[in-house]
Amino acid sequence: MNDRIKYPLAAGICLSILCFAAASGQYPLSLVQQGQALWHAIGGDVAALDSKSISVFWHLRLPRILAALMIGAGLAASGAAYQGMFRNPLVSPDILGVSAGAGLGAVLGIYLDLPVYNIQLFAFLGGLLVVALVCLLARLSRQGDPVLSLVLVGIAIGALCGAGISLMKLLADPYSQLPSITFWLMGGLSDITLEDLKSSLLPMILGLVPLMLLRWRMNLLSLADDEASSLGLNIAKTRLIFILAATLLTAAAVSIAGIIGWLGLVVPHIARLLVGADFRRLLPMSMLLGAFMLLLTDTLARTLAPIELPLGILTACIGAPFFMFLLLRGGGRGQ
Amino acid sequence: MDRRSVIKGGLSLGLLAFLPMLANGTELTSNGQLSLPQAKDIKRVVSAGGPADLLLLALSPEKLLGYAHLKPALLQQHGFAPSLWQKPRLGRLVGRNASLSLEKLMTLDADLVVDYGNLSQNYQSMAQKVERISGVPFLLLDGSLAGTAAQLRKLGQVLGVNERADFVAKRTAEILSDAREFGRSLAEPLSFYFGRGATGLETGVTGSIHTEAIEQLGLKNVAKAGDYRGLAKVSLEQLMAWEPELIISQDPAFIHYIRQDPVWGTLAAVRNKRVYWLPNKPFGWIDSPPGINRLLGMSYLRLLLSGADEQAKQALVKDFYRDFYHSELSGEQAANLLHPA
Repeated sequence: MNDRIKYPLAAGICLSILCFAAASGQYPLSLVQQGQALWHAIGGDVAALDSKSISVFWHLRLPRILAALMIGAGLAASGAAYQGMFRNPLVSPDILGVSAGAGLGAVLGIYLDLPVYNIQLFAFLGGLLVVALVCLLARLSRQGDPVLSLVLVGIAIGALCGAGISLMKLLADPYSQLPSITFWLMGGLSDITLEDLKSSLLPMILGLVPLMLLRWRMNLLSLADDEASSLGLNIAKTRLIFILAATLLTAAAVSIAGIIGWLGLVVPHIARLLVGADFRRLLPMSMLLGAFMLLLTDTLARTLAPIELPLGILTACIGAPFFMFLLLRGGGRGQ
Repeated sequence: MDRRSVIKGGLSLGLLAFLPMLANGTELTSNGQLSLPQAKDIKRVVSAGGPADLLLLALSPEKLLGYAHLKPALLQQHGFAPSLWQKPRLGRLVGRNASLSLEKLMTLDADLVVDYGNLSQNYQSMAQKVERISGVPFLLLDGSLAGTAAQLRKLGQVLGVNERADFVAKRTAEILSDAREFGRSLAEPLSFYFGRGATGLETGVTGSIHTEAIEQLGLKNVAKAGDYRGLAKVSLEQLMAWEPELIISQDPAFIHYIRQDPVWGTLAAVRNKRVYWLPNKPFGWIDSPPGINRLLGMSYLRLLLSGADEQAKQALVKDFYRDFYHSELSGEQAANLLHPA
């Protein structure tokens, strides 16, 4: 397929997913009405549209679509970064324990009956704290290979957080708190509000900008350490920046959406099959794929039944077969 | 014949086999076929979960060794009699979050274990397992709200407290019949949404134990999900489409939030000030746990919906505490339960 077909095709697919997402929902709101809501916002006169429809569009459907795009892009970018950094295709964004830490924070918040905002804050800080701890301990470790010690410490601390989560589940009230914990751990965008979007935007941008700007350096990081330093790269510093950026992205995503597994692991692989392993192209492609894949999945999660379906289950059901299809087809340029 | 009808057929055959025994009423057996001890020999009873705690507390607190779910400190704070909060919390024996081990159960030297709730095969087999290993008879009672009076009488017979059981069962029947009466008095069944969790976007769907107490009042749950009868997540957009006439919750933070949030404010129930909070201390009144505590929630919700005054509400709480929980509340205590600081 040459580029003259490929780009319009990709844009067409993205646009149709966007329209599908915007037009679907439990509240009857057509694309025309949504256009009117936009028109209304820029001062146009729309007589036919009631205030409730405007509210549904601006406060519920639009934030949810934006959140799906943002979180999907963030998780996929973070997955791609971790896989590049650790030169390992089995790595997912939670390799250094960010999801486990965020999970422990959120579960603690639910256990203490805190309001939503505090639960999110606990999750965000929990994720950051755990990764900071992992980086610190890995530096102190006597294991020679810095990447290996990071991964090993990450697994150990992640397991500790997992134990903490299990303990909180045991202590929680089984009739009220335990279901909330279970729902949180399954992930989902049904609680997303405009405020959540605003509060997670800053860490998302703080994570994405350095990744985008420094993405060419990732290609050097994927070389052996001595080769990379002979090319003049300060490996330890660059790796730290990437870890910080990817962690911010994941923590911001997880704190408002719960744990959405699988996406950060597989989307970078699909992107690699499409554009190859060059991180300069791989990162934007992963973000684009992640964003629209999560948007599609979330649209199904909120429309297939009158109740919300857990996002984690759907991401696996949709993404895994697609991934296998690409693998069996033989792939594109990369690998 | 599909698998479901085979199972149904099997179950009804099983019920038929039990019919003669029920008719005789002479011999009661525990769930795993151990025959139950004589009432006079049952002195130490262990509760398996929250609903059983409340059932035993209402019928025969002197035989109850400790609570599976209720927290004694909370009982003390919320006006329960000292003899009731001076019991230990032993932990749950079966189901989610079980924390009382079988070994501990055996050291308690219990004469009977009582559970009150789900009769599914899973719970039956767990009951049988506990009985087989510990040798303590396990009585599993059906926890549906409508059958509460019958279950109270049955447990009263087992424990030898027939008179007390008869009194509580009569009060229960009264509350349930008042609820039905209320439902019939409504020209049109009101629709409601029951919000759970910090965001209020968790709910029990129609037919679930979580909303049974509200549905018994003849109100219509907006959340439906086919045959599924459990907890579910929903979105605010879905609520906008459902547009329930009433919003009910036990979570004070959620109620406070929706009363001032502009997006929730577009819902008719919020605009019309038809958002109702029911107390959740020392345990829920509508749900959590799904036991006889729900009878108080039902009566209270009925008063709320019919616009009763404060005095009537306090009188209701005091009467219920006295009749079901053996505890006399002062006016101040009743007011604190209804309007915590």
